[in-house]
Amino acid sequence: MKMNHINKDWQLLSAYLDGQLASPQKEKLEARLLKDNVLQEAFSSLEQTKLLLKHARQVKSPRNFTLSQAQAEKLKSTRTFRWLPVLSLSSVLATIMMIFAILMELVISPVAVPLMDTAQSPTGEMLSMQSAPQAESLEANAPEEQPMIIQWGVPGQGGGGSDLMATGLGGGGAVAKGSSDVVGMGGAEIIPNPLSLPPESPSQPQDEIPKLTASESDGSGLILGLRSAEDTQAYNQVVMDEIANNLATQTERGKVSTPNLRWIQLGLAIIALVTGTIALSMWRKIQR
Amino acid sequence: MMDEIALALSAQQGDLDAFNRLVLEFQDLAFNIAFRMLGDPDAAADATQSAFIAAFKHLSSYRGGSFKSWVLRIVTNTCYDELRRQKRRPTTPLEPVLDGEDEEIESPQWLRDDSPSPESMLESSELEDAIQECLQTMKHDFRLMVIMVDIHGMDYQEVADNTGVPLGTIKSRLARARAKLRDCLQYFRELLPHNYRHDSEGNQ
Repeated sequence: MKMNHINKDWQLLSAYLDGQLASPQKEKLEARLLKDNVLQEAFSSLEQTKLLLKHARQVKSPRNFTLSQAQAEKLKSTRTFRWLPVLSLSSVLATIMMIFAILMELVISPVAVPLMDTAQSPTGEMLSMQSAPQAESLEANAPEEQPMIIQWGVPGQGGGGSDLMATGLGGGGAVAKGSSDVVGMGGAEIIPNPLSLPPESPSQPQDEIPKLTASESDGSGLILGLRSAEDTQAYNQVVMDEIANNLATQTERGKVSTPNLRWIQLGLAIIALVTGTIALSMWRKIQR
Repeated sequence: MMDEIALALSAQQGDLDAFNRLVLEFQDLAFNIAFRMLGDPDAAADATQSAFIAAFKHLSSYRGGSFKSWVLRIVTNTCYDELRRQKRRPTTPLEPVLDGEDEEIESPQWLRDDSPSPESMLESSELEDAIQECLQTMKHDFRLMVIMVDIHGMDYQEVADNTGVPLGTIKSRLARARAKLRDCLQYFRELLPHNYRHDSEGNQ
């Protein structure tokens, strides 16, 4: 039987040779061996091979491999260093995680920092409010004579001097008597998105906000929505407070995760330092 | 009969004498397996020593059962490590140069023996050399099966315990290894009378 004989037969013959075949398989194979000369020859060759291997010399070990007391003591001390790889790995992992936590903070902070900046600095709206001419100054500059009253546009919409209508802030300027070519000087700036107070703010009831628009009923209010200095100041203060509150809330939201991240970074740094130090001292002992 | 489990448990508690008794009990078997696997007595001695040192260092991982199987698994793993190391960094042994060795020997030395008797042939060093040479030509996994089953007479279950290899794999590896050895040792097989095995087995 050559090597091209099916592997299964080799396995069966080999197992049969070692007495490892179960009864049904054994009987089947024995029946085949009686009929098949090639199979019988193959089995005989396997028997001879096994016999030759059985006569392989048993070599005596050249020396004793027992351990001396000194060797045993030395080996026992090295047993304590089996934590070295674990500690080293922990230190490396903690360092990597700490770096990751720092990067996370750097990624988060660009969101928080501009919010903090905007909360501390006046916004465009606030600046425009501050720069808006006060009724006081207008009154001071006003001529002594009673100004000519002009009903301009729809009552309640101030501004003027422009093709666009400015809504409700600042109020229109007075027109000097006899002057026909200067209209609406000192009018409010054009605000594309009219400022509106958030509806969820219950602390500022609508009644407390002074109305800057002229009375629609009789048209006898101030010209083009211009109010007195106290009213303007009070209104501006209310709006600025509201804006500042909104920005402060947004800033707080951005800063929520930062304290936890700091603690995580600190914890990881401690773990990395402690495990790294222990691992290093162990390694030094081994090197001695 | 030595109680290997009791000795192993004592060794685990720090009893060096108990460990050394176990070493003395199994060192010949361990060395023989290492020698057949590595084909070099010095490398085998080193591997055996390393294996027993590793066994002592890792006594805490011994979970009862056959200490022999546990330690033989360490021995075989050490041999595999050594074989891998040799493969990575092959070395050329420094052999003494003998006169008349300039000519290339086409056939192994054991083929020169013309007509030895079966008995003398079985005890000859030529057969020993031939077996070792044939073993070295085989894959490591197949070699280990032949060493344990055919040379050391272990049964399949014992081999499975010693190596962690499943029984089915042992059967197939052994069959293929024997088929290879059958061709490799053909010269010696032909010297054996056809019915030699039965007589030999009967006399033993």
